[in-house]
Amino acid sequence: MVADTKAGVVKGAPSDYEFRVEVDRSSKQVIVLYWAAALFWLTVASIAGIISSIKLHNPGFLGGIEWLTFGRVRAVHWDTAIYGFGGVAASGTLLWLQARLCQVRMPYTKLLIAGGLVFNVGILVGVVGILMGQSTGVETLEFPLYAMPFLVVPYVFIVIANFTMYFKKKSSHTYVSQWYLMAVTVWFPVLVLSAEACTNLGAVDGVAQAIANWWYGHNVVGLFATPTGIAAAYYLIPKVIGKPIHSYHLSLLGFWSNAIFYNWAGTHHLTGGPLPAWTITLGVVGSMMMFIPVITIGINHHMTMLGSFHLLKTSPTLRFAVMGSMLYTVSSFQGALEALRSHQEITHFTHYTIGHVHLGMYGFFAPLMFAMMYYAMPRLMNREWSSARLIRIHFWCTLVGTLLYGGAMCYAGIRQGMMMNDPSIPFLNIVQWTIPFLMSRTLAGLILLSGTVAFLINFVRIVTPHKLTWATPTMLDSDRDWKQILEAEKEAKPQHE
Amino acid sequence: MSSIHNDDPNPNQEPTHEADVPPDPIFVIHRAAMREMDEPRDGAEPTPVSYILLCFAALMWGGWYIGTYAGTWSADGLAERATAGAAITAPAQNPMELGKEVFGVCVQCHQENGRGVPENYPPLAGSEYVLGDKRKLAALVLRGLGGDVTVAGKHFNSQMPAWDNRDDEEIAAVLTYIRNSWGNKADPLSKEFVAAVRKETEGKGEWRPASLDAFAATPPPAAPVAAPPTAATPQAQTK
Amino acid sequence: MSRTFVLAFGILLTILSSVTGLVIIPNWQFQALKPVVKADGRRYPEAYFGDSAKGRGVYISQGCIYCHTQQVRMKGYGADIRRGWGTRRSVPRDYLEDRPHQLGTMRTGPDLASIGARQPSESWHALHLYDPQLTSAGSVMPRYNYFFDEVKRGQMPPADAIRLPGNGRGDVTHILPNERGRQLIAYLKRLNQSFPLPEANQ
Repeated sequence: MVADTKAGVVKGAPSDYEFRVEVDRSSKQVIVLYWAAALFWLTVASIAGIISSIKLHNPGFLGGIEWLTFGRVRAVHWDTAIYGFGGVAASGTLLWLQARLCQVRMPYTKLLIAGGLVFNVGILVGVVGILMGQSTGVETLEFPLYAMPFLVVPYVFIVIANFTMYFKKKSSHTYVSQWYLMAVTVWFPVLVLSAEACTNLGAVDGVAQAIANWWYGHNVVGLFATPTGIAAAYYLIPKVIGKPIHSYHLSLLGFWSNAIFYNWAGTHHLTGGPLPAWTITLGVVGSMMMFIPVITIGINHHMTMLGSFHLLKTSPTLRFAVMGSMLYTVSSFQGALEALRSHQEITHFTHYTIGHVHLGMYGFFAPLMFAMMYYAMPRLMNREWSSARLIRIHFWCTLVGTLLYGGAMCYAGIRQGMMMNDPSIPFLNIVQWTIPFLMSRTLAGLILLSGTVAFLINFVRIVTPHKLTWATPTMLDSDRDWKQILEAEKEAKPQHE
Repeated sequence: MSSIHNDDPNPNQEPTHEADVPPDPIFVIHRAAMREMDEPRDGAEPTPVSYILLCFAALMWGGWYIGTYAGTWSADGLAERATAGAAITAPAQNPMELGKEVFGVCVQCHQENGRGVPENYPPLAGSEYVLGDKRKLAALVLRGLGGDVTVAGKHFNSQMPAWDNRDDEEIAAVLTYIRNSWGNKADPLSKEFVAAVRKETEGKGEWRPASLDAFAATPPPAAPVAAPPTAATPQAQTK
Repeated sequence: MSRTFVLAFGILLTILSSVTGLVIIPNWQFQALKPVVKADGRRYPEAYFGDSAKGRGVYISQGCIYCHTQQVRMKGYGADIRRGWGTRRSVPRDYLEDRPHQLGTMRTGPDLASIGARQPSESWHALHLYDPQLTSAGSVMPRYNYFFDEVKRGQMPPADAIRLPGNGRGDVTHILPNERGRQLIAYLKRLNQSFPLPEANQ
């Protein structure tokens, strides 16, 4: 955002600022509601994750209470993380980006607000259902069927709003972020409806259901969270540093190869299982082919950033966005290799997969959502972030927590897998061996939660009305701090009243 | 709503807007939108030909992988290569090692230290069933045992499942293992011996302590398995 | 507008192709799989009924799937068979009656595809579910004590109560599975893939 200021000073007001103001005013309520809800669910998901993590190295923790048993809290953790945080944050991101890139006012704001509220009620209903033991038992689709209308109907509103904006857009050009956003709104409904039909509505049985389940389970990350994250990166990186994206052709190659290959990858979650070989083979190839989009998108982002890396020192948005983009490359490489049969022989069924999921979700997707919020919230609220220190805490907690989590779980998973493949080692010895790593996972979870709390404080502060404001953006190297604000406010009050 | 607190020490940061701010209310209200860069644009750098070739190479690998590992393209084509799945002949294992491996299932009740679970599952360490008659032991493990038994002076009443789904070599190995662990010391069993007992007890259901004792009291059928104790080596050669 | 059409159509095409390729076609292929009629006239796999069907619901509601798989990999791929988790690999036909499927993807605990063959003892399952430490010291499995009625010291245990080893746990000397406990145990005992199917030899 250093560069931002230059734009303001050197070039004077950018020609198109008026539409931004209009767009931001029209979308403010919707987006702030969605992101606030997303952060709420992120906190819930983190707490549920930490509880289930503690239960794995300390099974007596909150033991003997049926609604808090591991199998339920663990399901609540993933579902609130993917639908509560992921779904709601991504929907907010989608609507804001689309409004800005189409240069149109947010349509149907009342409907979207009502929809957002209903969606959150739906997640709450689902969570309570799972805790009461009414999980469907299908991984990633655990929410009981009665929660589904609450989730499906609001999403239809989002899809409609998205298309309305797209068809009203001012420019004839469609920016690369928009391709991904359009794709999400087509893919996600098809995914959810087909997968629900196949599993919980019982269109297919047995192993065919397992395939549908994992086709969905992989794609909900790959065709929902990932494209939204990439769209955010494609928007934020050039936006903050003020350079065009490196290559339109690479964008094109990255988008279409991602679209073609990703949705075939899911069956690698069942490698070695009772499936026809060809289904798994297609999954392995789909995963390995992901090298093409991942490298392409990586090159595109990296070449755009080249020469602007010094801005990482000051811009919170850029720092989170670049962290997300880099870990996108890392976790996608890992994911592609992980699909190979020889790799799966060891790491399948182990903590390695869990480590990989967190590297992807908390190393790539979540930072990009945070970057979106860091960028957009000051514009939506017309207030600056109140504490640079809290942003720094948030960033370092996110980075260290994710790397600790991913590192510990992936290492533990490889060793665990090798030991499980050696039948002379008793199973319980392996369980015991993993315990120190499970403890470091709890630690990583606590670090991540601390970061979230720091962000929450800043978020509450920027949302709640207060008189104090700054003329300049809050940069990472400023010493704006929580205490300062309180003091300043104390001093400021008598003068104003 | 203007700035009342601006002590930012960083000179690189935005100088106060106050001076350049035109008296446009929208401008004042949306300071952040003002100082933004333009909306992102696309650059037009070409994609290197070498990179496109690499992508093609990746695609070709994908084609090769599908062609090689897709099995028979049918619902029951589980093996990824049509040629695979023929004869997987594992090298012969040391019976003690194989036995320990097979014992991985037995630990559920008899525990890794062979001491069992008090009042529920009998110990194997020092057990007269383990150290005693081999034929009786093999018959017990192959066909299961239920009812009130006394092991090492203590009463147990639980149910030992029949392990007839494991092959002779595995049963022989695990029995050899339990007869020679945790301080136990007794002679090994051969897989031929287990095979003979399996044949002899064919169709006999789960033993009761009494029926097992009765079985042990009857002499084994004479002809093929006459030489139990040191039979392991010579018979292994013939097989 | 034509670009929009290419975009929208292309996006829809990619997802529809994978629905077709990975969901519809495999399911169509699986229609050819039929249960086997065993020598005693019963079918394999048999439908879940009575307690085992209800026990399956208990298994699902407790989220057992997050730590236990129900699939045995082929000989030579991993050590599933050598660990005694099954005598053969699992095949699609084993799951004809499974809805929802419970294949699982995590082995914090051992595989349960054939737990009924490996451990047919009801009292073992009762002790293990009541407190895993009783039978498997060092396990990280939670206690499912709410599936059991506890008999306290000094009370008269019913005839079919299961005695806890040693001095019991705290006050409790005997346990008796309640309705859901019995159902869950019935389901676990029912899990058995020992029946040989020809396609498992691959």
